[in-house]
Amino acid sequence: MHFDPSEDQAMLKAAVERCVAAGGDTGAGDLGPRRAARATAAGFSAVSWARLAEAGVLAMPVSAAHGGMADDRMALLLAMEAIGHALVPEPVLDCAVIAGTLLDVAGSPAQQESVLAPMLAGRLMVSLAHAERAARFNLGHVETSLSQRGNVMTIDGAKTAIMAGGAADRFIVSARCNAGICFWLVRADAPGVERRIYRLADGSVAAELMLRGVTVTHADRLAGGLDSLDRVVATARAAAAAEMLGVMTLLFDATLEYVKTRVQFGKPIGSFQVIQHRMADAFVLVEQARSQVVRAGLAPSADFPRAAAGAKAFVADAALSVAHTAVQLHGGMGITDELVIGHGLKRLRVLALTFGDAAADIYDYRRAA
Amino acid sequence: MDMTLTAAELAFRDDVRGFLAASLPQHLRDGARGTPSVFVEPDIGLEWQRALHAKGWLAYQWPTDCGGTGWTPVQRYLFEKECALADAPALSVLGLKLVGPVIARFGTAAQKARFLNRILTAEDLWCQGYSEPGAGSDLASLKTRAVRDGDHYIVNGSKIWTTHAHHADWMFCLARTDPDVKPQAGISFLLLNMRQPGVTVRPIIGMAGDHEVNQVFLDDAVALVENRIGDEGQGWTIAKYLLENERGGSCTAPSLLVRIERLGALAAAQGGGVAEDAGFTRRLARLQMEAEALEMTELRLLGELAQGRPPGPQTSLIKLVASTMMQQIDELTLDVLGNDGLQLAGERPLYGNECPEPIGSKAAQMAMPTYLNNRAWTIFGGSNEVQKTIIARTVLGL
Repeated sequence: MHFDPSEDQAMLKAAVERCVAAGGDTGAGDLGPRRAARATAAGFSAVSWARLAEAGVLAMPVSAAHGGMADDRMALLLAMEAIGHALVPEPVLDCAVIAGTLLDVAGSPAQQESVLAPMLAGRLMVSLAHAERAARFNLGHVETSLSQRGNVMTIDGAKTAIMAGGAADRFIVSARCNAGICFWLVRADAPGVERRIYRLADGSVAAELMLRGVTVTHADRLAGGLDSLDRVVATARAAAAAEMLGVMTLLFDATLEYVKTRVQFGKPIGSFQVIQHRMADAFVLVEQARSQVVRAGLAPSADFPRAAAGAKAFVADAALSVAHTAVQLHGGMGITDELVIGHGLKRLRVLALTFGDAAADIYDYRRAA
Repeated sequence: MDMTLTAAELAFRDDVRGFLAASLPQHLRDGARGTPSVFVEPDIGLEWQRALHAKGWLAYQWPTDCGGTGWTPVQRYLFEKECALADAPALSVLGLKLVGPVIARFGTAAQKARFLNRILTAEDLWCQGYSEPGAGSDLASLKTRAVRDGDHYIVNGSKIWTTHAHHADWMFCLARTDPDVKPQAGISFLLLNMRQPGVTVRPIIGMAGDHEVNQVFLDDAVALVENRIGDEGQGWTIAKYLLENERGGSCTAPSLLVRIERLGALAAAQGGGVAEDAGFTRRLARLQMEAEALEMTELRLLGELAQGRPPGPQTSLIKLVASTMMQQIDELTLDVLGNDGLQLAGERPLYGNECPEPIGSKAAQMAMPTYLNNRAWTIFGGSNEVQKTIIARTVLGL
């Protein structure tokens, strides 16, 4: 029994860290590169995205046939933790993990060649357009529908909370049809697609879609239905948990450093017991959150969806608690936009709702027991 | 990362399971489940201890040259986990886990020969003389005084919260042998015979009605110099070693997970819609996730030990989380039981023929006294506030 990373896992994590260092996303306090990336229309740096693709980081969630290491789930989680720790603004979770995994498990060979491969190479942006306002977090609630007249198939409906949707060239749109809920590849510039772009708390650029008579063909349809989404959801939840672990570790370390150096009443505030105990509580949360991520990483496949749901619910709660402590102990500085603290808190808020809030996570966690 | 058990470890686990199936009788399992206090009474505890001693598995926390089993950290964890899953009575830690390893580590050959085997055979039962009325969390301020007089010390003072002092033959205690140096440096670790005129034991009855702890008065009690462990003034070092053992070596999550699973079943059996209540299901799921995290935290600690690395202060973390969770489970259990949870039987024990008929269910009979007694978990062995200070100082460098 040991919990040291394997050689492959360490290599992937190192590759992520090299990309991150090259992009300046150190998370160590220099927010310049992050601000510059967020200031673009896409909300991230095209150069950094290309670097992540070049290093093979974008391919990590997909199967070996597409250059990934999907069967080494722990490697993915270690890499996602590193991405969280550096507050990387590029949409690794939304594009590589979520859209990438869905195309990997449900895409046709032609789609994998024409869409997945260029996406992993950094040349094409793909986002999942599944959520609808009335669904809240019920993944099976899809009102967007496909209708067929003669040989012509069209999609009508509305989608919201499309992560990284601002830069997407393609959407994977879920729509109800005779066979149940299916996924269709839709070009962002297709007639009938109206995209509204908006900023999220973490500065990323999301989108809403209005779909009015958008024409699709059989070649646009993914082979798998809602059941393939379940696999994507589990992987995405675990990856989000790992990214949150990275963010919370960053905020914890920054806060620990701060309470050792910030002097009030003639001594470092970390010498006061009330501060020490809050930091001890936060430390416990970080360690327990890490255990949940490791647990999701090492869970047998049959237990993975449940472990992932539990990990995400637990880590989200713990990470937000640590983030709130970080804001509080930084005092006035904690509520500014000048430190990693606020940027981390805002990223956590977005990650915490990946495929559902805590209630949705816990619902699945209990159902899978 | 690899948390799969090796073939040898799986075989060992099966061995333990086989032994428990064959040698842990139902009345001991019932006794363990019918014990609302932290420690089990000697009637069931010692019967189980004898069975383990006969098997050669009792001294598994001791070095091999003192009769230990030579188990790896993983084997120790597996043994404790299987025992917890089988409702085995908790072994008394006082001799086996606390003073035994201290004598094995710091004792002379004569002391080892004199004391160790009698712990295993239960010829000697032990109690711990650490806390005093004026020295709880601030243990180093203890005032019990030991004055050297030839080949013995005359000991005066009072010890409190002394678990099972009323059963004990011996007490290991901290006493001040030098009042003129800084507090930690003047303390010695003495073994003191409880069966002597200078020792008086006064029961302290807990909120639930259990007699588990006592106050012990030492009035010119005698401790032989040959029964001092380590040098004069070395007591604090030894005490810290012992406290780390008391807090650590942790296999707490498996029994918490069992309690959580049973709580789900209890809610279903209790009826009235509580099992489907969203507030209840959310709290139960949160507890389960926390316990699963704790299990992995314990395994990660085990992984460090298995690699031959020191355990570090994670033991404080585990004590902090496990004790808090224990109390949350107790609270949720009472909430699930509603009116049935209010009963508090005065009779003891709550197992065997003399046990009163429960109102509603056995679980309901156990819930209130368990809840009341388990409030001690966040206090003994260093309160949770002390654990947080330890984490802040030793881990975080604050």
